[in-house]
Amino acid sequence: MSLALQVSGLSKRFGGLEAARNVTLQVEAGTIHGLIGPNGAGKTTLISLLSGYLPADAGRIDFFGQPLQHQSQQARVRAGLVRSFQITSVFGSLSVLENLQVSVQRRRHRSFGFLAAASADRRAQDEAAAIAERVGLGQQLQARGDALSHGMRRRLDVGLSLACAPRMLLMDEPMAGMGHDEADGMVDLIRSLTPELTILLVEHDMDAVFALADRITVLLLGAVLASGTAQQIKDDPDVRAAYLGEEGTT
Amino acid sequence: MGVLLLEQTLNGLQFSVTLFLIAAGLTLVFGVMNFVNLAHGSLFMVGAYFAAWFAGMLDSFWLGLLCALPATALVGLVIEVLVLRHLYAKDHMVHVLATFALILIFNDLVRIVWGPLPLPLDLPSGLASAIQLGPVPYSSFRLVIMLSGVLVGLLLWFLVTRTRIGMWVRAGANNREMAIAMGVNVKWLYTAVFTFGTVLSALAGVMLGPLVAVEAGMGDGVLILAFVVVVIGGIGSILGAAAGALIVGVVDTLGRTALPALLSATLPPAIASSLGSALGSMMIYLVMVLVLFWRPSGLFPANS
Amino acid sequence: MQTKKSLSAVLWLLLFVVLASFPWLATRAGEDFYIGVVIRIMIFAIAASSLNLILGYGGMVSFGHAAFFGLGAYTAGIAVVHGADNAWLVWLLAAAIGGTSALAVGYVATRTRGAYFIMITLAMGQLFYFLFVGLRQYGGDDGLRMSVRPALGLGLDIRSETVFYAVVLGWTVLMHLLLARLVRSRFGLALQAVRENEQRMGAIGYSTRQYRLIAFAVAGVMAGVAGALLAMHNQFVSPKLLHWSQSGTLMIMVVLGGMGRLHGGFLGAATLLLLEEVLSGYFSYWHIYVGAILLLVVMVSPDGLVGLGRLFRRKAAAPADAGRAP
Repeated sequence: MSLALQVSGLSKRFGGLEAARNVTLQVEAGTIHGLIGPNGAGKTTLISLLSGYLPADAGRIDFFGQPLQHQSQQARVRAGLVRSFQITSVFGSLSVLENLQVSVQRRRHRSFGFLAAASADRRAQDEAAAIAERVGLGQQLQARGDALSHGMRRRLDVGLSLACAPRMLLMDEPMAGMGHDEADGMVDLIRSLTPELTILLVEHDMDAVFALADRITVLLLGAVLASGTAQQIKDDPDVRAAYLGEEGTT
Repeated sequence: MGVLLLEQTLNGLQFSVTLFLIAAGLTLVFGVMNFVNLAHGSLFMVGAYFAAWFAGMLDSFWLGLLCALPATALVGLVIEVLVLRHLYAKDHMVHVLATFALILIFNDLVRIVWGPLPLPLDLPSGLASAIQLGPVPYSSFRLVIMLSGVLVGLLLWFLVTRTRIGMWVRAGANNREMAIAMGVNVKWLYTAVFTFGTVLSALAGVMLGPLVAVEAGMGDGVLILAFVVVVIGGIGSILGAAAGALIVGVVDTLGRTALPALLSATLPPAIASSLGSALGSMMIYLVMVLVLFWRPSGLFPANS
Repeated sequence: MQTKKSLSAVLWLLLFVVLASFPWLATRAGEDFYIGVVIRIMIFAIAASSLNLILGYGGMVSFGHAAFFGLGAYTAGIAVVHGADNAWLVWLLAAAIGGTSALAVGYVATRTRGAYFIMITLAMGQLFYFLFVGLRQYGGDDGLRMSVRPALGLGLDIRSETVFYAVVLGWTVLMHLLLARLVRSRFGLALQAVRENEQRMGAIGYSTRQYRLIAFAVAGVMAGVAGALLAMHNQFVSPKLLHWSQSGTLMIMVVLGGMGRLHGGFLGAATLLLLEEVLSGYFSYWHIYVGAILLLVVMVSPDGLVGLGRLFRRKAAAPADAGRAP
C-alpha cells in the first residue's frame, strides 16, 4: 500500500499563537483519514498548510513521494492535491454547469481562449456534466450557484474539487450545516470517491467520521494528541478527556 | 540658495501639518468604519468657505474660525446620518462613487451659495507680520499653523490611547462585534468619529484659507495627497498619518520648488523648469508606490 | 429565452441602423451640431466599455483608467506633431501604448487588492497626469493642438465629419463585438469567476493574477484607441483627460449603464453625456444634478440603470413577492 500523504514535523506560528505544532501524520492511498479536534485545534490551519494556501514555518509534506512543502498552491493542485472549503465557496452568479466548466477548463489548460465562446467548448461541458452527475447535481445544470440549497452547494463544492482530477482531497467539514438526510447523502458520496481517491476529512459530525474513516488523527491546540483506528480513538482515555467528553457542546 | 531651502523646508513642514489634520480624520474613518471617503476634501473646502463668510460678517478671523468649525461639523453630521451610514457595509467602490457624487454636489453648491469667485479670507491682524528665524523671515501665521497641528496631534494621541472613547474607537476598528458586546453604541460611535474627522478637516481648511484661494474645488488636490499620506502611513494609524504627512508634505513641497532649481544647474532653464515641475509633482506618487512595494500595509499600520 | 435574444438582437440592429443614418438625418433637420455629440458619445462608449471589462467583469476598481485614455490621445497628438499623417499608424501606436502602459501599471497594481488597489491605480494615473502637465514642449497645462487629422487613405477624406462619424461608428461596433466575444469566451468565464471568488479559483489551481493582468492590458488597448479617436475628433489634447476626476467620470458611466452588463459602457456613456448636454442647457451649475442622480442610483441600485430596469420588471411580474428583497 503506497502512502498518499506523509506529513512530518509541520509547524506554523502566527505571532504568539502556535497554530500547528510539529504535526506528523500518514495517509495511505485509497483510504479516508479523519481529522478531528475541538474548535481552535488547528484543523483548518492544517488544511491550509497542506493545500499551500499558507506557507509552513517548518516540516515536510510528501505527496506520493514527492516533496510539496515549498510548492505553490497551483503546483499542488497540478500534482493532484486539492482542497474544499468549510464555508461554502462556489461561484454564485454562474450556473452549476459553468461552475464545473471553469474548473475543468483550467485542468485542460484551455482558459486562455479569447474569442471562441465558452458555451461552444463541448468537451469541457460534457466533462462538467459528468461530474455534476457524479455529485448528484445532474438535474440542476442550469441552476445558479446562489440559488442552490445549502446541501447542493456543498455537493457543487465537492464537484469543483473533483473537476481538478485530484488524487487526494482535503475536505474541510463537508457536512457542516447539513440536516440528517443531507448528511447521509454526503457520507455516501464521500465513500463512493474511494478507493480511486484518497481523502483527508475534517469533521465535527462524529457519526460521519466514525462511519467513514479508516484511521483518525486527533488534534488539540495545534498538536497531534492521538492517531489510530476509529475504535482505538474511541477507547483512548486522553481523547475522551480532551474531546469526546465535550461532544455535547459541539 | 540655503535661505530658499530653509524657507521651503519650513513651508513643507507647514504643509505637512495641514495634511496631517486632513489625513487624521481620513485614516480614522478608513480604519474604524473601513470607509473610503472622497468627500473629506469637500468638508475641508466647506470649512474654509464658512470661515471666510463668518470672518467677513464678524470682521474677525478668530470668530470666523470659531463659527466655521461647528457649522462644518453640522454639515458632516448631516451627510453621515442621511447618506454615509447606510453605505458602510457595502463595497469600497460604492463608497468611492457615493462620495465622488458628494464632491460634485458640494463643488457646485458652494458656487451656488457664495458665487463663482473666490472668497477673501484675511490673515488675523495679530499674525500678519513675519518673525525672524535665524536668516529667514518667516510668516508668524504659518508658524501658528504648525504649532496648532502639533497640539492637535498630541490631543489625538492622548484621546486615542488614554481615554475610554479612544479605546472604543480602537475596539470598533478591530472588532465590531466585540465592541457591540462591550455595550458600545457602534452607530453613534461611527457618527462621532466621522464628525470629529470633519472638524479636523475643517480646521485645516480654515487655517489654509488665508494662504490659498477659497474657491470651489480647493479640496480636491489636497484630498488625493491626504490619501497618499494615509496609504503611506498605514490605514487606521494616527502615528502613520503623522509620519506620512511629514514625508508627503516635505517631499512634495521641496520636490516642486527645489527640483527645478536643482535641475537648472545642469539643464537649460526652460526644460529644467518644466521637467523639474513635472518630476516634482510626480515624486510623491513614486514614493507611495515604492513604500507599498516595500511595506504593503504602510509604515505604521494599526494593529488589526 | 430564444425570443428574448432575438428581440434583443433586433433592437440592436435597429439602433445600428439609426446610428448609421444619423448624420444624414441630422443634416436634413439642420442640426449638424449633434453629429459631433454622437461622435463624442461613441468614443466615450468605447472608453467606458473598456473600464467595464476590468471593473464590471474583472471586479477591479481602477481609479486611474483615464490615464490610458489620455495616453492614447497624447500618442495621436504627439505623432501628428512629429509629422505622422496616417490614421492607421496612429491607431496602432495608441493601441500599443495603451496596452503596454496598462500592462506596466497592472503589473504593479495587481499585487494589491481592495483599497490599496484603488490607491495605486489612482496614484499611477496622477503620475501620468503630472507628466503631461509638465511636458511644456507638448503644450503642458494648456494642451496640445493637432494641426491635421491623420488621413485614412482609401480615397476617403477623413476631414469630412460624415466620414469621421462612419470611422468612429465602425470602431464602436468593432470594439463592442470584440468585447462581446471576450466576455463570453473561456477567458471571460474564468475572469468572472475570479471576480466572484478569487480564493476558490486559487484553490482549484488558477493563477488568478494572470487573468486580471490580461484583462487590464486589453482594457488599456481599447482605452488607448478611444483616446486617439477623441484627439482626432477635437484636434486637441489636454492633460485634464488623464486627471482622476476623468477616471471618476468613466466610472460613473459604467455604473449608470450597468457594471458587468455587455452594453453597460455604451448605455452609461450615452446617458451621462446626454444628461450633461440637456442639463447644461438649462442650468449653469449642472454637476450638482449629476452628483445627485449618481448618489440616488448608487443608494438604490448598485447595478446601474440596467439593474433598475430588472428591478421594476421583477416587481411587476410578481406583486406577491414585492415584499421580499430582490
